[in-house]
Amino acid sequence: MKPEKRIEKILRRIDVIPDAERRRLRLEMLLEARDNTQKSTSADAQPIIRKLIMNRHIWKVVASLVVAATVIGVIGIVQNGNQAAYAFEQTVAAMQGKRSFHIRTYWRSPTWIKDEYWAEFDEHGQLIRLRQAEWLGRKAPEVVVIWENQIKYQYELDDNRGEPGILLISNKKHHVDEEDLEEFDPETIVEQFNRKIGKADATVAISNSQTQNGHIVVEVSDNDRRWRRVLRVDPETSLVLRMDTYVPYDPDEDDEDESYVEGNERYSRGIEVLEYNKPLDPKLFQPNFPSDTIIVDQTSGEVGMAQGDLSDKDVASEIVCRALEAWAADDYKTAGLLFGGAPKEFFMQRAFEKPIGRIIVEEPEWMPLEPNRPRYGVKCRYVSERRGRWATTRIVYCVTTVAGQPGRWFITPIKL
Amino acid sequence: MFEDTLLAWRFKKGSRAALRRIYEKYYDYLLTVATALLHDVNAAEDVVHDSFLKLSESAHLLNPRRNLKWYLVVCVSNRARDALRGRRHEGVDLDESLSLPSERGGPASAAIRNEETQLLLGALEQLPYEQREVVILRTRGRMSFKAIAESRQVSIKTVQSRYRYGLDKLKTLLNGQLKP
Repeated sequence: MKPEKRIEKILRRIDVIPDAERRRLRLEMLLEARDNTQKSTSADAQPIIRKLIMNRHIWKVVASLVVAATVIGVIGIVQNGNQAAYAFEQTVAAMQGKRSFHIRTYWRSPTWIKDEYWAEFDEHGQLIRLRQAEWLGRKAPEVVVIWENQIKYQYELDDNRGEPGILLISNKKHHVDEEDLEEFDPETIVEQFNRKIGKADATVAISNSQTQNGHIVVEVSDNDRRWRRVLRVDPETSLVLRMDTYVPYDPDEDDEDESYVEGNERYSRGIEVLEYNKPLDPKLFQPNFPSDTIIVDQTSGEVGMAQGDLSDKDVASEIVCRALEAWAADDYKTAGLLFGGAPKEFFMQRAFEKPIGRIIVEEPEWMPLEPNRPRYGVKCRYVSERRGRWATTRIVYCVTTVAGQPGRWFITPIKL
Repeated sequence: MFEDTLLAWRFKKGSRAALRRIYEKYYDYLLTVATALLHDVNAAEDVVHDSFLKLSESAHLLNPRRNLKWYLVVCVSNRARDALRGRRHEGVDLDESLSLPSERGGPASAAIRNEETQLLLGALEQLPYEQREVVILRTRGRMSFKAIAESRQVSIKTVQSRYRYGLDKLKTLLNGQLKP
C-alpha cells in the first residue's frame, strides 16, 4: 500500500476513547445549562405539530392511515407477545432472587470486553460485596474496585505508562456505582424486558430452532425499533447466559470503524453471565495488588483540607494552590495530605509534573461525581521540567470531599 | 440521515431528548476530530463541550436540511482554531519555545488507542493549521471537498491542494515509520 493511502487509512480510523465518567458529566453540565436557558420543551411543540398537520386535508388522511396502521401493528405485537410469553416467563422466574453473579460486559463489538463484575447479595437483594475490573478498551484491566464492609479499594493502573498502580482506600457506606451495577444486573434487565413486553412497548420472539450450543435464542425488540436484544438462554435452567444489544445502523451516519456492524444493525453492548447464584471465590474480594502499588489510605486518619468558611469553589482553588506550592517546595507531607493521603512515592513518580515555576490556577469547573457529593475540576498551568527541558504542564485536578470525613476536601490522586 | 433531520428539527423545537441524543451520537466522533486538530485531549474536550453549549444556545440558527454531522464538525473545527489562537496568546508569559502539550491528561482523561495513531497525531501537529484541518475533516470527518470548501469559503481546488500538500508533508515527516 502506498504511504499516502496508508496515512489516509490510519487517519480514518483514529479513535479517541473518552473517559466515560467525564463524558457523562459533560453531558449533565450541557443539559443543565440548556435547562437554565431554554424555556420551551418538546411537549410545547406538539400542539404546533398537530396544527401544522391538520391544516391540510391530505395530511389528515395520511394521519388517519398512520393511526389505523399503528392499531393493526399493536394487535399483531400483542398476539405475538402472548405466543412467546410462556418460555420468557420461565426465564423471568428463574432469574428471580439473585444472591450472586459473575458477569462480563461488552461494548462496540461482541468480543470487546468493557468490564467484569463479581457481586454477592443478601436475602433481601442488598449488595454485600463486589469486585469490578474495567478494561476501558485495553488489553488488561486498568481499574479494579473491591467494596465490602463499607470500605472501598480502588486500584488504577495505566498499562501504557509503565508506572506502579495506585490504590485508594476510602470509607464508602454504599458502593459508589450501585446504579451502574443495576444497569448490568441480569435480574433487573430481564424484569425490565418483562415490563416492556407487558406494556406492549417491546415484542418478544423465540427461535424455533436451537443454536449450535443448544441454547434457546430469545429476541426482545423495542416497538419503536430503537434497539433489539438477543438473549441466549440455558434450556435446562432457563437462566440467561448472554444478552447482546443491537441498534439500527446508518451507513451515512455511523462510523463503521467504531462498532461491529451486521447487516443494517450495529452492535451496541452486551452482557455475558458467567455464573449465577453460585459461590464466588472469597479471594476475589481480598485487596491483593502488586507489591509496588502506591497506597493512598483515607481510613487511618484525617486527610485533605478543612473547608472552614470557604465556599465550595474557593476551597477547590485553595487546595490546589496549596498542594502545588507544597509540592514545589518539596513539602511532601503537606502535599500528600492535600492529595488525599498520597505518599512521597506518588510525587516521585510524577517528577515531570512537579511545579518549578509560575502556577496559574483557573476558576474551578463544576463536575458532579455522584448524588450529594460535589466535585470540581481545577485547570492549572505551570512550568515543570521534562527530559531536562522546561515545559508547560497543563493539567486538570479534580477536587472533592473526603468520604467519611465531613467538611474536608482533597485532590483526587486517581479518576474516582 | 433521516434520524439527523428529525433530531435537528426536534432540537430546534426545544427537545431536551434530541440534544441528549445528538450529544450521545456525535460526542466521540467530535472529540476524536478535535483531538486530532489540537493534539491535546483536555483542550479537545473543552472545544467539543463549548461547541455543544453554543449549539444549545443557538438552536434557532440550525437548519435541519443541512448535514448535522458536518455542521457539528465545522463548529468544532472553528473552535479548535480559536483555541489554538488562544493558546498562542496565553503562552506569551511563558517561554513558548519550550512549551509542550501535557503528556498526561490529568487524573481523568481520554485514551488514544495505539502508537501509530500517536505518531500520526504528532506529525499532524507540525502541519500548518489550514492543511491539518482539511486533512482531518476529509479523512476522519468524512466531509466532501465541496463541503469543506463551502465551510471555509475557499475554492474546491484550494481545499484539494491543501489536502495534497498536507499528505505529502505527513509522508515526509513520518518517513517510513508507519508499518506498510
